[in-house]
Amino acid sequence: MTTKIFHTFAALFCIGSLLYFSTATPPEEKPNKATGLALTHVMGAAQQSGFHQAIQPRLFQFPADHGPHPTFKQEWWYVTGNVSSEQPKRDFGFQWTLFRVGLTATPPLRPSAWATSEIYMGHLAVTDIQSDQFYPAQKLARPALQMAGAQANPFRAWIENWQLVQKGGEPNKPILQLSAQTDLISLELTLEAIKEVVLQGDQGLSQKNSQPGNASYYYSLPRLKSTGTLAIKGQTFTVNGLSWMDREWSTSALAADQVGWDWFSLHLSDGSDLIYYQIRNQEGKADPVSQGALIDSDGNKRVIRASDIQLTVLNHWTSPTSHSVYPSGWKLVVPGLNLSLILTPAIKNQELNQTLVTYWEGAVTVDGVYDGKKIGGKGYGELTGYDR
Amino acid sequence: MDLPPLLELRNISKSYQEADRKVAILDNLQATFAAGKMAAIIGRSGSGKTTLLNLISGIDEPCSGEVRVKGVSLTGQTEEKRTLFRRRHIGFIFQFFNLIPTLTVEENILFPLELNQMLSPPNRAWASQLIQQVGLAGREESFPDRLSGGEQQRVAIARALVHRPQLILADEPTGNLDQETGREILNLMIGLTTQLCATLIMVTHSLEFAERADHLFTLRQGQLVQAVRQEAL
Amino acid sequence: MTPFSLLTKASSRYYFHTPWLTALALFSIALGVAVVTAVDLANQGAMDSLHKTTSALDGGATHQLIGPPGGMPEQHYPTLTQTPAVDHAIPVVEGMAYSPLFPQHPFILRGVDLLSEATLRPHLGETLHPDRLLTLLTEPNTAYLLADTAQQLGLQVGDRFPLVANGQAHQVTLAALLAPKNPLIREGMASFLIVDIATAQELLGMVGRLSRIDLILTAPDLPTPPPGTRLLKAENQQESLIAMTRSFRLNLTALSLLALLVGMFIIFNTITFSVVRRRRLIGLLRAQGVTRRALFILLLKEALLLAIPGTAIGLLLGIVLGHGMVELVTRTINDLYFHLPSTPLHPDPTSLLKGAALGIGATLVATLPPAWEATTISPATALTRSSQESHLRPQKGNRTLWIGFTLLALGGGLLLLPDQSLAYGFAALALLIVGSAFLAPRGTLLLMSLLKRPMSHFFGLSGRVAVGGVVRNLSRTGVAVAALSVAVATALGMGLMIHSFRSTVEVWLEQTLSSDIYISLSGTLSTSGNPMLKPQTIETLKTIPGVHQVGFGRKMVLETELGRLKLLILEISKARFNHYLFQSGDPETLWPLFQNGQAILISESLAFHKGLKVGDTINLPTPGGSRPFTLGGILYDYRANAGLIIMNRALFQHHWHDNGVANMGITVSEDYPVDQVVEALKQAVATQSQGENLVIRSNQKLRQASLDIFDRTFAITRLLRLLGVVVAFFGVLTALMAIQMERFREMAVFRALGLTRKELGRVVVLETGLLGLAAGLFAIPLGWLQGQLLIHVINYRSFGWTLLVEPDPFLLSQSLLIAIPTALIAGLFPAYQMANTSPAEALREA
Repeated sequence: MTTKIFHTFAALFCIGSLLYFSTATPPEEKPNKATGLALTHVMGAAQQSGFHQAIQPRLFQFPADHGPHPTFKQEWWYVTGNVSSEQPKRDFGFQWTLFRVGLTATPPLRPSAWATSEIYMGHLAVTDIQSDQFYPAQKLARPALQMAGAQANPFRAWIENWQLVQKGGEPNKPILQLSAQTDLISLELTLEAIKEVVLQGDQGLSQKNSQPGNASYYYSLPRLKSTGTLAIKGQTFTVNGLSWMDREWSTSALAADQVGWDWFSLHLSDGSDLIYYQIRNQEGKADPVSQGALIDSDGNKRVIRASDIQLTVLNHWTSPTSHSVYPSGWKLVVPGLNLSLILTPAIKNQELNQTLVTYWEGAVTVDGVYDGKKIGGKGYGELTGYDR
Repeated sequence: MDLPPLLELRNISKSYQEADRKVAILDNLQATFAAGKMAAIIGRSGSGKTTLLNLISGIDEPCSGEVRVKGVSLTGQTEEKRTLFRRRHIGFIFQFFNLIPTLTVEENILFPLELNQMLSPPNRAWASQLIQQVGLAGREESFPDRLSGGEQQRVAIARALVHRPQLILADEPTGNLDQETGREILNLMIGLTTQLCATLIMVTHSLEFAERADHLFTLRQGQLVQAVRQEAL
Repeated sequence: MTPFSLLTKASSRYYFHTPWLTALALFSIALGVAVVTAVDLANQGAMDSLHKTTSALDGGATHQLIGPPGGMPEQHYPTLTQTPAVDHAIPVVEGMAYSPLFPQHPFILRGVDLLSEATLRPHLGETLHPDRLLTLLTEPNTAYLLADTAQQLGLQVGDRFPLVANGQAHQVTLAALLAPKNPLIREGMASFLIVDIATAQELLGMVGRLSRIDLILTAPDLPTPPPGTRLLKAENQQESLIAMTRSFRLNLTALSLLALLVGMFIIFNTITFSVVRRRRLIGLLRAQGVTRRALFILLLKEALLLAIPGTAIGLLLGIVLGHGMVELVTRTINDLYFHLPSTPLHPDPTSLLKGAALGIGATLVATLPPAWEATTISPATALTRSSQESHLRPQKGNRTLWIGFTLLALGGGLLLLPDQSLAYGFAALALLIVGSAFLAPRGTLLLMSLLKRPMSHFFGLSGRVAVGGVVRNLSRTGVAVAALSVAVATALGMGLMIHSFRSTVEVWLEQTLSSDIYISLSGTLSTSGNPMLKPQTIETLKTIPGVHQVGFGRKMVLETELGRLKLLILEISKARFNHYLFQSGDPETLWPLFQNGQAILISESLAFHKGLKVGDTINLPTPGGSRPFTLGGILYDYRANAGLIIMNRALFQHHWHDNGVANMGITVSEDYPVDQVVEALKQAVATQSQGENLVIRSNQKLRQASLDIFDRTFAITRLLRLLGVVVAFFGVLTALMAIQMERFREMAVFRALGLTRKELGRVVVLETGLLGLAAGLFAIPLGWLQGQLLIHVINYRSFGWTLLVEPDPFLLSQSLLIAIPTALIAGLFPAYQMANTSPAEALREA
């Protein structure tokens, strides 16, 4: 999920739209959002200087690594999940994300508390599957006056009244409390890790392309038992289900010719979890460094490489708002594991287009055959770099 | 024996520019009018009768020729001099009366006296007498719009005579009146003119006046021709 | 061709045969419409500017949480973001700043939190280059400017320029240029210098504090606003600013309507005249079988044909005029109420529609009486010449006299009503004007009977004829005199009001500015971020030889339950206190109360607008919450219409825990020349400068500066007055020329009867001169009355200002200076034309 860097940077671009402002910049300076080229240009730009890069594997320590890593340019806490209520019988997907972006590695000393070298951005979304409704929201803040921030011990990450806080469990198998409210939706969930932390990539070093340093440090809590309440427009549901949490930090990641990615995290009915992310180049081809993993019910991880997998798009969906054309429905086959899955979006429209950057992030349902047996499941998919 | 001529018209020519052609109205016209006499001028419409009166009064100027009154040439005088001359020596009676609408009967009649700074008590008495004579006693305060055509013309006659001019010019004074009224007006004019020993030149279609005038002229092709009564009729 | 079109032709050809008159009538309509439209546009423009500045950067918020002077603790912000009722919160730090490089262009320094703003308004406009954005966030003393503003100031991205804020000089770097697509927002931003909120705190000396927080609330209200703050509904906030200037704008509108009223007189005169002149034609038409109804409609249609092009020209003229006027209106609001950036004018369609409706409506209304009159003409009377005069004089004169007196009585009655509303004041003014106008014809008659002898004596025949002409043409001259006197009186009344006002301010300044030298921080207007004099600076200045006594002052803006008020904090001597002009309250007994903090003073305008009197208490928001203060006295004060509270410094310090002062008044020892002490102070500041920018002015200079501001404030009123005179001038020109042209034939008869050219010319000029004299004379009482009304009723009800100085009666003679020359000029053209037309020509057309 490295490539969510995009969000952060795209967000920075779009902050420019605040206050209806625009720059009278010379043409060559004009950011070119359509191709995404400018995004990567900025990533390679001067602001990187002074930040550390993810070059070689490191030793992960918990709870310290649950907290922020300010020597790296960007970082996030990313929770997605599927929950259901019994009375009435309803299914929901949700996304809770906090991004941290370092603006400068060498901030000057200033008297104002508002003077900042970092920005935090939160994205929140709930999918009401039976009603075919999607509720995205966004917050931006600087880590001044405790308005936003993250800390390791006790672990807490927050932006205003959206927060994720540890309330028990082991450092590498924590129990977390997630809460968030907007005028339309509200989430109050306890997330209890069923499986321990899983390091992605090579011992947690997730390479995004062949260039050394274009990589992130990346770990996941793949299966979190989730219980609590979810409210939509004042109607509260008691829910339970499963969630997935990703943690990632880096300074540079994508190469100039990489435009976006398709990312999936799936909770399968037999207790195993599958993650796969595929980085696309300008021709829409998967980069060879695309990777994934199957984590069995005991927490054992099996790496899935690009060459191990066949991911076929079955359908497309055109956003009525952004007019972007997204893949919508996939066939995922891993011959080596005797695994064949059909992934279907829970509802078509789970595009975050009220936010500073437009992308698709939504609940998917899973049907298929694993090792000769029928298998089901639920999960989340993320599609970026499709916006035009 | 005749008195010397009061009015002499010498080689008078007058033409107007109309669109792009020149229309000659009077062409080398010659005439003399004796003092104390009445002259009638007849002629078709458009033959230049009104123009001739305007030239005599100095309202208009001839293109060439000379107008002499009492031996004095009006032609060549400044407009101002001509006006002052007119003010003093000429009385005017129009076909359409041309009373001053914003002045009462009395005021209209007194107006020439005022112009000539002759508002002396005897003259005011004379004016009152004139009002009597023209039969408008009691109507002094009326405005012209309250008078009939005949009454208006009576006022005009009084106004033309009040400052005792030597020359009275009348432009079809009965043209706008019925026969009966016309006759009364004519009698009034002749009577009063005679009383003042003034010279009367009248443009007219009235047979009656043509008969009673001392001289009869026809204005034809820009010339004034002494006409025999019979011929005129 | 239908008969009806022939009918139209028959009557309307009149206008083509009198092109001069038609043109002048058009021009009168146009001018009236132009003045009204221009004022409306300018008012609209100023309010637009208000909307733009408030909504360009504050738009979207439902409420504003306003901090006390000096700002609220910034900790309120995160608390609010955690409050359930708060959907979005945007912190703002704002103050005034200026650059010595651009003294003509003061900035509103606006500190924004780009992040919270972005969340509220994500997808509008274009994008900002990230490098530029990062600069603003991460580098201190960086700022954005509107691209247009930067170009105007000759600044480019990367330029450093000096900026004085909080009395301190800083160097600021221009980090980026903003070019929003929406032109309205561009204009609203023209005076903003946008900086990061952290930079704003640092530049304005407000570290740890916020000026205000813009909120989007999900609930209608916040349960408990933090202490020392006030929660205002966004629309109420704007509403209260708009309300504050309402009287001022109403005043302007009414003054502009006065111009239209004058215009209506002119239109009425023109149409009346056109009917009178065509009586014969109308009679002919009636004789031919045209019905009264058809005739009435025909005349209205004609008026419409005159009104439409006249109004169209008026609207165009109004737009041009409005462009200049909006600047004046904005400046006045700036001086009297609150800071308002001037923005170019966008002709508002509603204003134009209003102007059009007024122009056409006024023309039609002014047409009704003559059109009605025309339908009563019987074919018979119309066919005779002049049928007007004989039934014009006696009874009709009495009727107009009665109408006039009734209107005057009504107007007087309105004034006596206990309701002190401005609208009634203006209604009374209008009634008095129209009422007096009805008296004009009779007044003219009276005047002429008085003048008959002297005119005859001095001008002889011409004089007599002229007097007679005025009297006998009363049906037309009466209206002209009325129109002219109304116009001149209006100009006169406004002139008296301005004069009285200025003299009052002069007296007041003399009294109030009783120190010899005044010292203040430059470039500082009192908004929430209030720069203060440094204590060591004060100490230094106190020790300068010649400094005898020192007083202190400070001004700030307070959001109170009574709206936005100015608070003046003073530490002064008893002698200076005694100099103040008290409307109520005795300075001797008040002094100890004021000194002890037991009483505060308020301005007369505040007392008037809020119905406050001595002994009342008002609640003011202090850092410790709302506190009651007792009103000890009411002062005459002309510096701000927004309302002023004066408080002893010790009292302020007690409640606000703030010891800062922003200006000093110095009394100089008797044996030192003031100028010498000013120089010494300047030198002391220069050598001791700590980056403070001090303005040191003698009493004289400050007084002059204050009067300059007054003159600026009244520039708009002066302009309206001038426009009134111009309208009057053209109106009179039309009216008098019309009268004379109509008498063309009559004049020809005069000529035939022996009136010389010169005499005739003199008659015409004398006649118009007499009309001018009549109008000028009538304008004197009428103008005096208008002036009194403007001074004691309109002005007081608009602003709550008592004017202490009565206008100079000598000014009244101005009316003759306006009226007579105007009238004489109006006579010249017809005089020339008549004198040069052969009577033969004129008599021809029987």
